[in-house]
Amino acid sequence: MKRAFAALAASVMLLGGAVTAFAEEQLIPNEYYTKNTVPEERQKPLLYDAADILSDSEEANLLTKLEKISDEHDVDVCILTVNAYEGNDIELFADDYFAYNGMGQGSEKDGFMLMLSMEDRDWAICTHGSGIKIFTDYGQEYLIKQIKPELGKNKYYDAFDEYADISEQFIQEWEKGTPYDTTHRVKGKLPMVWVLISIGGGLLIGLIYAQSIKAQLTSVSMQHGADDYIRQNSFKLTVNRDTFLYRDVHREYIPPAEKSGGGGGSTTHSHSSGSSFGGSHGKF
Amino acid sequence: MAVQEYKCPCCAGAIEFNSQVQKMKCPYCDTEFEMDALLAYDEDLSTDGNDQLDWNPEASEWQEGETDHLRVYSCQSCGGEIVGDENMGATKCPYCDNPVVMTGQFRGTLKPDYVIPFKVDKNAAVEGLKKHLVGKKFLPKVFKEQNHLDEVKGIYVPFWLFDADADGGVRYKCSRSHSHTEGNYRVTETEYFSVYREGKIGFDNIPVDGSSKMPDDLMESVGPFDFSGAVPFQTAYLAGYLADKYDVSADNSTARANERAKVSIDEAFRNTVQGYTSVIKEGDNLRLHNAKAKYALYPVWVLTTSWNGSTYLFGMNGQTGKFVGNLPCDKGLYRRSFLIASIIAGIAIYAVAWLFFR
Repeated sequence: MKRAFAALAASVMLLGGAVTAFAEEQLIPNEYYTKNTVPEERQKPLLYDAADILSDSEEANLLTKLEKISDEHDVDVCILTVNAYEGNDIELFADDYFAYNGMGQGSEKDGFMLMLSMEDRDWAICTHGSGIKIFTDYGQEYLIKQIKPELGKNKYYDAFDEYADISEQFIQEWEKGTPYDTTHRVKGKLPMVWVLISIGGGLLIGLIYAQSIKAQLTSVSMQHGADDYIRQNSFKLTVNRDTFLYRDVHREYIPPAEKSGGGGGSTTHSHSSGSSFGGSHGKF
Repeated sequence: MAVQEYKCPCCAGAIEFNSQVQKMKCPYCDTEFEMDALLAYDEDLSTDGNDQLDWNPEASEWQEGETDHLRVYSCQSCGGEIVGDENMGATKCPYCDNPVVMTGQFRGTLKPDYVIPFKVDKNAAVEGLKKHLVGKKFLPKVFKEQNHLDEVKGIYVPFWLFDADADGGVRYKCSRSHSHTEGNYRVTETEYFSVYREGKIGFDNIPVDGSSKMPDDLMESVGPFDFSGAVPFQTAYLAGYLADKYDVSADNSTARANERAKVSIDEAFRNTVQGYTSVIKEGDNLRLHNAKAKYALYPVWVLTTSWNGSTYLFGMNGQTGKFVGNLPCDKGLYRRSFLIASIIAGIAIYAVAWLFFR
């Protein structure tokens, strides 16, 4: 904890040292929170490891990476870890932190944030400004799906590193004018089972191919049937009866299509600061 | 035993049946003879020659029992001894190469009803083998150059011809299903039917190989023969070819004819059951009536080649020219093709999955 504050203090100094020591101790600065105003300047670093789950070198590496991405694309890519959060709505807490710390770039405060709360192992994502378009509901679901295995194994550095990579990939796609969404899905990794299917299917097709060519070599066999010797027009049907017996009706319930399969986009909610946020949360 | 040679009335050379002109032809003076003229001649000849039956070749040099399945004939041209098995009906004299017919093998109750004369000649058979080797990818490359053509024989093979009439019925259980959506439910309706078909069907001249010497599968594979090309039997047709009399009785051949007929009957009835998603045969009551079997000689060219210590047998339909015969497989080539095809198919499957299932 102390180390984190020390690092924080150092980075705040670099920003200009305008913020007082009092503000550093609060996750959400009171002076802005109470007035519902959003500060012009960013009050916290892009990576704020209040739960201290990263080593110093890991933290430095990640911060460099996040700053590079954020500078290049003018979108803040943020990470927040806490031991516990106030209130019982992690998404609201994340929104408050993002808004009243002045996170996000430009007038629209473009950015998004991944937050972990270690006590109950909660995660939350909040998106703001263009971040809402970059990470739609689909994008957030995809992101969590990708990093959840690492989070589950407590490999936080790996998870955050992947988060940074995926963020850059999503930002680039948004810059091209085709943000990832339900209609434009990310091409992820192919499940391992396809390797087995490919080997099995390949062997089967290979066998059919080789056998069909080998069949050219065989032309001697006992013949089936005697179609060549049927007396012309000798086949006459005298009874031709189709009797209906019974009907069997089987009803199978189909669950309604999931919402992600629909129009896509982001679900947003308004925030006390006056702007709207997108986001989601869950357990890891 | 009676041996018949057809002598040319012009030059006294031994004449034989010529498949190209479909007549008897003297290979020495090119004189041709109508088959009908020979029919009368043939009948005249059947009255004589019996005196030779007294001739007993079974001298002391044969062990007892050794000649049970052998017959010894004397060539009428050179007097040479022709030894053949008990079923041999036509051959060539090993000394003077004149075609001879053992008329006794086809007299009386043993007289075939019909014969289909050879339509394609020996050259066509040899050509047929060459064509047969073309386009077979797994045939060992050296087989074409190295295989040695041992023998080409034009054989009249004895066949039993069965006419069969069948009547009866077949019962099937069939189902038809379709599905549609009702709200959040997928409704699949399956309707079950009992389907009954009754009728009759007839077969003409289903051939069954009457010679135990000829492989049954080879004989069935060279078929079908076109029975409209058959003519009443005359021994003269055999001149110049090999022939055997039957050694499998008609009674022992009926089962095979019925077996083949039954498959076709099943298919014929099955084809009338249409418009169902599943058809399962539940039972039948079929009666098969066989008429008396006819006895015919069908023309088959049999070619034997040897390669790599193995013998390969080929057959060509002497009427239609259909060529059959199993060939050896290049195992290395087979394995390579299998491996390459598997790898390409595997990569293709993975690539398609990579494009659509990520």
